[in-house]
Amino acid sequence: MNILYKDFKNEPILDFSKEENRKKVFEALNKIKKNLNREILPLISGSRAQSINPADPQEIIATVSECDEKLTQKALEEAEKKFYSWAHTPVKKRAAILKKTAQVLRNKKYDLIALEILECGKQWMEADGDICEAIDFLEFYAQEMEILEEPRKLGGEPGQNNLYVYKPKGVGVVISPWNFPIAIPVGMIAAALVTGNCVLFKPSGESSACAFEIVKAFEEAGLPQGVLQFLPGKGSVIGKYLAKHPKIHFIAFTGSKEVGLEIIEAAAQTQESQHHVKKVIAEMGGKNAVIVDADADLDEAITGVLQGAFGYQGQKCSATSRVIVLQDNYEKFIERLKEAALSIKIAQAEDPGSFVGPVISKKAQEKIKQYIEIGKKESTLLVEREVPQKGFFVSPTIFIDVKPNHTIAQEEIFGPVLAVMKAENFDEALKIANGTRFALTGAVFSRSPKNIEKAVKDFDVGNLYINQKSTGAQVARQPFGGFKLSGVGSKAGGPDYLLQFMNPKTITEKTMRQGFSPETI
Amino acid sequence: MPKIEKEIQEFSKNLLAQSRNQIPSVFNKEWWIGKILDFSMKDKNFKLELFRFIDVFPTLTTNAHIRSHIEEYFKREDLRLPSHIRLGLLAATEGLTSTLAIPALKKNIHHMAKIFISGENTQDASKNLEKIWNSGIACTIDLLGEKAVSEKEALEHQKNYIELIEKLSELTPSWKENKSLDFNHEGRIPRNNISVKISALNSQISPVNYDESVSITKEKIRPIFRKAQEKNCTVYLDMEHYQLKNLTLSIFKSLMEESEFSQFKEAGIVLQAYLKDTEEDLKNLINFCQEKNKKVYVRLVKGAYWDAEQIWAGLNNWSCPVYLNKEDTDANYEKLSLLILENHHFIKPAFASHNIRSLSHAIIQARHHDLPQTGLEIQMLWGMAEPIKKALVSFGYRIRDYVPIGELVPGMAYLVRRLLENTSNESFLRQSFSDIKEEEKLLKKPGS
Ligand SMILES: Cc1cc2nc3c(=O)[nH]c(=O)nc-3n(C[C@H](O)[C@H](O)[C@H](O)COP(=O)(O)OP(=O)(O)OC[C@H]3O[C@@H](n4cnc5c(N)ncnc54)[C@H](O)[C@@H]3O)c2cc1C
Repeated sequence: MNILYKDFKNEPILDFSKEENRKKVFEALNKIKKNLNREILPLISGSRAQSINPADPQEIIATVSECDEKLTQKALEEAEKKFYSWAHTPVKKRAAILKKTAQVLRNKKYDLIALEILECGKQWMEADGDICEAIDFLEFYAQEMEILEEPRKLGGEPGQNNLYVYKPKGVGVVISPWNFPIAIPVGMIAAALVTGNCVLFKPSGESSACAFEIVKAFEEAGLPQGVLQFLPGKGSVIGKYLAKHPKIHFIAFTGSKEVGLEIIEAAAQTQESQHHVKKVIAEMGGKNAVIVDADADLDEAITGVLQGAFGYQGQKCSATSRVIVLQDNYEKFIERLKEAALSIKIAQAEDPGSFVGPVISKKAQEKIKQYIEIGKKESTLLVEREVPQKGFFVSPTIFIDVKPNHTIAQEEIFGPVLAVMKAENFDEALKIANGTRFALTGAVFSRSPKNIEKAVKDFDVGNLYINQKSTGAQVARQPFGGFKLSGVGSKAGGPDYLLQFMNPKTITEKTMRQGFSPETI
Repeated sequence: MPKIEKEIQEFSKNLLAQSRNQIPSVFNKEWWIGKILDFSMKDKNFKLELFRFIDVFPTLTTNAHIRSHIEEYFKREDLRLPSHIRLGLLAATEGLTSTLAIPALKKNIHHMAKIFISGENTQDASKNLEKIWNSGIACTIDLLGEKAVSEKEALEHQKNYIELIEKLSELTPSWKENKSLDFNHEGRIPRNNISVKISALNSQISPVNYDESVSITKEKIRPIFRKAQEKNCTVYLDMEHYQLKNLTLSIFKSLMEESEFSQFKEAGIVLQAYLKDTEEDLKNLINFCQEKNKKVYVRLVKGAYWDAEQIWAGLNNWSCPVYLNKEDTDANYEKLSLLILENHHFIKPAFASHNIRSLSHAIIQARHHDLPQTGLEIQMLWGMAEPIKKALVSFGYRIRDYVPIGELVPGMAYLVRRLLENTSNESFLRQSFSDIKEEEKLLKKPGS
């Protein structure tokens, strides 16, 4: 079989069994704490908002000057001015800037880990993973664009030269979430930039300080001014304004299904002054299921489910939120899962032992708690734990005897809440797994080649994991993204991603003049 | 050839000659295991399917499941099985014959497991233990458990270890006195001896949470050490994956420093010669013992997770912690043996290997470092290399078997490791007893 990206080396995660690596994170945390309440500015100041530590809401990580519509419009005009020269900058140079940005992130790795821990409540290894992924996106898209840049010659007939090339679209928007505060925005920005577009970057308000670091990293790497415009502020203001804007060519969005669908709708309405159809690259939610087969290795399945469901408090679009267990294994599985969930440590992410930390905001905390109340009415509570009062903690929560149509088995909760269901056989398990509006990730723990084959064929997800947890996709190895209402089928970190930021162009030149052509002469 | 090397050659040739009169269970083709492993060594595809099947087998609770799995694993176009294996396996999938063939297959797999795992529980194993003792071999007991995914399971493991010490202390006193097993050069040594895995005791152990992992694991081990101190039992901390290596060392040293255990002379740790780090770790351990005035057991092994370490390092793009050349591991084993023997005032050596060359080197070097024959111990795995053990017993060496006890499901990981180890191309046992490699090549100084 032809292996793609065999030589692409992902940025290695840190080996925390080595003392020096642990020490550097502790040092970075201490350093950063002395220098908090960072000031974050867009191009020109507007109103102000704060980004806080979810484990300690008193601790202000950054004060953000928010953009309003007027500033946004100005940023857009500035970006437009730069488009021509950036689009004509050789790919080699654009790619080099990405690679340099990767190096900047690498150099700042420990500081960035510390910042993610404090601003977003990311656990140490989660934060490290996020930065590695960001670096991977930069390296990978740089490499991909160098390949895509080469015009492809089509057909071999004489007298005519047919070429197929890709051109940038124009100025676009990147709207990013807080849950992978560096990797996701870096991925979207890098893809848009390396393909020759200019970018208006609207980060989540909950990860403003991380977002600012991204902008600084691109700047440090030599990205020409104006190509990337930083627009901190409210999605309801800037996002809405830009999604409708006739001068915007594309919108790269990662976030909730609700906002994603709004953007798709807004973008679809062509304005009077608009000269193009807007492209939306949207990655939305998931309601990801894990199937535990009758012959599954339970040691593996339980650790995988626990990490998938509660890692980073379940705030990943790839998080495991449903488990479907074959009845032969059901009792044993829930018994062991329960004890396992009772054993994990709930603590702020600064604590390197934290398995479950605070969720991102008060609003998120309240929403998740509401779902837990619904779950209690619908099904049976298996695990709920005491959590610290300070900070936005929500207990890792498990429900059993959940029915496929229950609210907690259908809606994305984006928190540490897990619904366990029973299935009589593998076919039924697959049917339940496929029975939601989402199709992002899924996992199967099975040692039956036949059932694995069935899952490969019929488990409707963008990323299927076999005997592995449903989270943790790696650039190039596991291009990430889903379909149905999980997304538009764009796969970040894969071979098709960059294409969505470009318009293909076919060039046909008649090379025969006066009866001769390059082939005959 | 230097004098010492000559002595090693002489000793090892003799040992090999004596051993080759017999055949270890694993390679005995009279038995199903011998036949099936023999074929697996010839056909990689079959080996992969076979080991995967053995891995899943204990979780198959119904005959229907067994049947469908055999079909899925072995009824494949691309697998060409010799007729005796085909018939045995496929009979289990066909209507009429399956009623007979499935029980036969179950029996065969259980037999295979029983070669390496001595019983489902201590009660079960107690007869075996005495039998082993009567054949002139001491033991260290390992409890095979499920991976501890919760604190409940970890506490269960801890309780089992404490009970194990109790039970051993009731069992062993009635065993017959045996000079070479009961004494080292300094005096009487315990008959009770156990081997403990830290990952079984702390379900939340994780390198990133280093300090807390150390302190919590220590809390878990303390009662075991306490019981061991009370009942006169040796406790080894086994060495697991590389990710737990530094933790294991820290935990061990930190416990040794506690005043409660200042008089506990029966603690030991395992070091793996396949790791590039180990020389440094051993030197640090020796310094530690020197400074703190301690004497501990060190069991020197090559390492049981060679394949896995490579895979993990590969997946993470980490530099590989293990040597990639078998000879480098063997050479390192000899280097570390020497370092241990040079420091036998701080380290009580146990050489755990089935490799005649590696053992002979340690035995001869011990003589040159004024360590009496009873000052060292040879350790091997139960169910392996029986002929070598027998020969060494007849030479008067103290042999200790590593005897696992536990049920089949949680024992699978151990069983599969043993099957891998025995059938690996690089395995000394395979080369000696299955491939019948020439003596010169088997016994030559590694790296020469
Ligand atoms: C009493 C006892 C206790 C044990 N406790 C532990 C323990 O706590 N932790 C642990 O990890 N193991 C432990 N072991 C297992 C031990 O590591 C293996 O049994 C041992 O590696 C087999 O080595 P050998 O010298 O018998 O055989 P040999 O055939 O000489 O060596 C095989 C070993 O060489 C190494 N090797 C194989 N191929 C290569 C290669 N290409 N490059 C480099 N190295 C290679 C591997 O370590 C392999 O296991 C224990 C063994 C015994 C006998």
